[in-house]
Amino acid sequence: MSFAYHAPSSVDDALEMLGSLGAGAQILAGGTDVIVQYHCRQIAPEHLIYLGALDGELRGVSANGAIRVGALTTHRDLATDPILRRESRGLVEAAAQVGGWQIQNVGTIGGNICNASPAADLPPSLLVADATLMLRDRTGERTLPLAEFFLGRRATARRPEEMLTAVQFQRIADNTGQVYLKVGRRRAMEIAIVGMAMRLVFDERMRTVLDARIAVCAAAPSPFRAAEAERRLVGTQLEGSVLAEAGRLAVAAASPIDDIRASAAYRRRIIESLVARAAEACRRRAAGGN
Amino acid sequence: MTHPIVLTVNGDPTSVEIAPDESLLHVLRERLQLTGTKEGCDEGECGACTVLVDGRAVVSCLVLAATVAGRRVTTIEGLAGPGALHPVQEAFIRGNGTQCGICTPGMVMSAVALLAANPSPTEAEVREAIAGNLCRCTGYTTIVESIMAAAGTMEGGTMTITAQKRASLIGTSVTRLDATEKVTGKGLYGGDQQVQGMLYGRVFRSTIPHALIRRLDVSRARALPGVKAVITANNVPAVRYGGAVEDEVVFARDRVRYFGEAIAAVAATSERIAEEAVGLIDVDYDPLPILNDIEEALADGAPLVHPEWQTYRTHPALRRDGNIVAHAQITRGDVETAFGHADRVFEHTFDTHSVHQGYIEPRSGVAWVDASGRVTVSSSTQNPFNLRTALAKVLQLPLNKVRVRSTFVGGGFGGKLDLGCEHFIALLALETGRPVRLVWTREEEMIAAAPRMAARITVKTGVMNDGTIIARQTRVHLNAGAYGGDSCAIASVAALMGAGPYRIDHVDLHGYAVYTNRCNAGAYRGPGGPQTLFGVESQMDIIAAELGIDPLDLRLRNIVGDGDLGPSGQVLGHVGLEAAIRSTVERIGYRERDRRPGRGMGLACGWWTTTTGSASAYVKLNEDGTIGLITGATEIGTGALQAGVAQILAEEMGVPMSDLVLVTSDTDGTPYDFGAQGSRTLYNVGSAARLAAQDCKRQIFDFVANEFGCAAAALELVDGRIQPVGDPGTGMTLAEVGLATLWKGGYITGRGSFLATPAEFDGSTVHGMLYPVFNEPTFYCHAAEVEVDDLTGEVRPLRYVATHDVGRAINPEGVNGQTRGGVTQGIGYALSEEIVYEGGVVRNPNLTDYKMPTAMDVPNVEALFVEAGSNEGPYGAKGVGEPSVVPAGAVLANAVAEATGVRIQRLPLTAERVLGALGSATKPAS
Repeated sequence: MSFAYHAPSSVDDALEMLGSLGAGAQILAGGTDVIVQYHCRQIAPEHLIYLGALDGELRGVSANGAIRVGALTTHRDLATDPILRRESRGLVEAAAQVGGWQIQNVGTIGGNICNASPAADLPPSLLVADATLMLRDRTGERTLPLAEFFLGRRATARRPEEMLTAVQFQRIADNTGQVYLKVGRRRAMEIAIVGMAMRLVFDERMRTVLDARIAVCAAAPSPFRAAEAERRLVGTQLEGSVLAEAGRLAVAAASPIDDIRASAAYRRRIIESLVARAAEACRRRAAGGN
Repeated sequence: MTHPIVLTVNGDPTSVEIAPDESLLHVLRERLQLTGTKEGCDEGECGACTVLVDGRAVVSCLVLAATVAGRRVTTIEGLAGPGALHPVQEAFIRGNGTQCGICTPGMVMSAVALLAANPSPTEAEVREAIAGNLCRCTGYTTIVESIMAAAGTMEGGTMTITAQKRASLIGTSVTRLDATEKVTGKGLYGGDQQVQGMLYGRVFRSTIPHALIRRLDVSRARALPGVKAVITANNVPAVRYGGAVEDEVVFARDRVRYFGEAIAAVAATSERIAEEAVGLIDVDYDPLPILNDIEEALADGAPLVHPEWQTYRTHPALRRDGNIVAHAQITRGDVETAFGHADRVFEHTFDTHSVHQGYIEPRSGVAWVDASGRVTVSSSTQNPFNLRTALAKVLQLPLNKVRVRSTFVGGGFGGKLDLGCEHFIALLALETGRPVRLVWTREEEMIAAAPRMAARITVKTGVMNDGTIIARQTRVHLNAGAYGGDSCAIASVAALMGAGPYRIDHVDLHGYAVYTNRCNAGAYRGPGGPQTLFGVESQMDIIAAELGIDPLDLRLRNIVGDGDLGPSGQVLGHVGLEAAIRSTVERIGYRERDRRPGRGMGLACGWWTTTTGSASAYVKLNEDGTIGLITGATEIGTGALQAGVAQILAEEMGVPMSDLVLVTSDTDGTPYDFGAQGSRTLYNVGSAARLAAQDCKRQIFDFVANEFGCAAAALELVDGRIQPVGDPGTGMTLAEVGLATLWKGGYITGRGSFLATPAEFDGSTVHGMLYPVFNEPTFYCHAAEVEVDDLTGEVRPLRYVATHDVGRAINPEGVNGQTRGGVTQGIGYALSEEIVYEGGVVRNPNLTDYKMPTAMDVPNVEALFVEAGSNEGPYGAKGVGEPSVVPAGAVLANAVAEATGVRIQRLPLTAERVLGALGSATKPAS
């Protein structure tokens, strides 16, 4: 019923273990998903590899050119990080809405991504940042766009011997507004019914949209970019009819399901509405508002 | 297989053997006996197990113990030295931040972590930091205030102490006597108990809702090493038990009637083995058709949930018919004729859902058997004496062979009144000869406890054009589940609630409890009230709109006052309803309310009961003048006992509360009490304690009179001294009397037994009513302002004001705490909580998808009270505990209707339901 527990003291040791143990090994970061899944018997790993000792190498946010977020950076770190507050406001908002503080204190960005829950809060904001993942095994490192990482519900392009070490994305342009909107039944301790991240870049007169990115979670097996809706916003001044149309295009990109939390119909309806609300927030924030 | 780790626990390097998959919570509680860290859900959702790891708050149930090797763990036990308190703990004591106490250690730890990172947080920051800690008692307000106050003191300020010396303790807010036990985590709850040689119990439950059991094979479970017993219907006395109808069994024998029904139970040497053994039990079923709801159960030709229903023993007043296990009725006047005379007749139907009490401490306890075969059960029950009766029946033992005592109760709200874990552990202890502990899992709680039942409520009302109500007919169908349980009596309550708090000459009020294939429902705070009042008070607003009368004015025109009749003909007195309504509407500014689109205000009012039942107490005078109270009553967190009754006793004996000791809730060691139910403890036990104190005092006075050769009537008790009236400093102190009586006259013990005078009613009006009248009725009015998000349908309560007529507030802050907590449960009921059944199966048996309000979901509830006195409550008090949970469904539905123009007749008012209603309705002109 149990597993063998390993706590490697360096990234290299961890990669060695992953390489030799292969698919029978489960990586444990914060544990807020893995332990729940273990208790519910959704997973039964032979080996558990705990990465807590790798904090020094894999935790934290840096900005040497691109923004780099170590895979063991916790939600609480993200929610309070001054660099991210400017560069990825949506990520900060998303992290602050994961569970409660006790979950945020241990749950990590790497775990949130690799667990590949359809409802995970962080991926939409990373998708609108065109984030790439640094995946390492004992032979080397590769980068993979986040958008190519998710293969379905709880399925990813990570190979068993690989470990996610960092997430990278570019700094924002001037006149950018970003937001993450989460709809749930409560204001905390929620799994999203729908989450939407948006990033809009405006011209210097703050009128015309130069670039638009929209990503949605909990409305398909994996979080996704609503590319048609994005294209509809570019070059516009976010007129009502444009937003309504973009809303419909975002819905068209979704494939939500009925579940205990909400119906597919409700999810579609709020995706449509959230586009306008998110766009307004982006415009406000791009102009320096809150 | 275990391996050793070394970690620092509360400053001490600690070596402990752990299993690789063992949680930090388990290590702390079971291996290190640090039970101050509480267990509520084991899934990271409730926050009760919050500890600090390297200074950061974590839920220890989701932290593998192996991962904290070499780290610093701080638990509630490590916050302050022996006998000392951390400033946050002190603030929780002074600020009434603890009620049942089960969430308190986790809450304190979250607060300590917050204040270390942010020494002067805003209220919003405090609410965010504790959003991962669910509290079911307080409504969070006093917790937030306590944390803010602690921030003040820790920054060098001083805390205002409000407990200045007052002439009387009655009407003064006091600190409850058990507060320190709770803020330190030292109070032992059911699952905190560890008894030498203890085994661990686990229940095997059905996985389908309705079936014949074709084959049950426990041989593989019995063969598992470490398993000491596996018991089934074949190993226990073949008895049916129950309240009004004896239809229930410990284990299903040939038929399961609900998803989660117990079939077998295991005792093993570890929790892990017990769990594994349950997985080795094999059962084959022949499925039967499932009756999921009331309509299906009442349909023509519906199968009977109990084909043998006519053979069951029942309460003589109970009226039954097939799947209808109770039909209660009040008929006064002639509704049909009155409907004919009415200007308008309205009929509407409403639906409500099933919800759990949401106590954070699961049902739990330990049982053992002594050498003479006497069974002791120590569990977190609200009602030890009732439980003893039920256990004696199940075990087929006389009462002197069964002892039940309550541990600290981590929230009950009616869910721990009846057999929960107790029959299983008693039977397993008898079978194995060893102590057995059982803690229900959260999943079991959600599928097999005692939820508030779903209901369908039809309300038909005849009114005149001026708004006068002349006739009311209601039919409330309660989805009782597979066994009658408490639903039989709750049907009566539904009938009594049908008229609302209104003067109506012609009433025909029905309550039905209906068998279905769900787990049997129980008594969740105000049972029968929230469902019925949702219908009744929603319809009042519909009628008001139809007649063009303001909802407030419609109510004021019809409310009862002194001298009016209740539905079953009782003459009402001490009616504080109008005062409560005026208090609420003035506080919330009802007449001047904001009418912009998306904003709305709603109100509802109602009445409730103060349940009777025997209460008794002994009061003893110790040799140093301190006072002991011995009563079978149980403190479940409300403070009725540990504050209210204690205040009454201290007041009567003229001693400070710090001179008291309370010994409670033990069927052998304390005298009878009818249990912590029905808002009855302060009223009944307070009266018994008062009588016992007076008896004790009379004996003291007689002794002193005898000593001084004067008349007892010439003496007075002042500041602990019995002296001739007007002659201070003479006479004897309580301490002197206490010591002297040991060798002269004999030890003094006062005795008090209280049974309220039965409320009078018109017996010709009631039929099949197990609960025919509300004793010492209480009244209330709530109002809320909401904002509805027209894009998502989300309903946000911005303000909530609740005024209760409590007769007399013995402990004002205690009263307010009850009100805020009840309202918060009511908001959860109205907006977010629901046990979702599909095909008889619970789809959300966890706290992830059973959504109780967090600190971020509720406003600061504004709790007010009015004092209309009572017939025979102590100092004029009436019951307080339950009614605050009752009106929220109607209040919020009425507010949503005003905000959106859309009337929703089904709870909960989820965002999806509200948005759906908005979409299907024509938007009102604004």
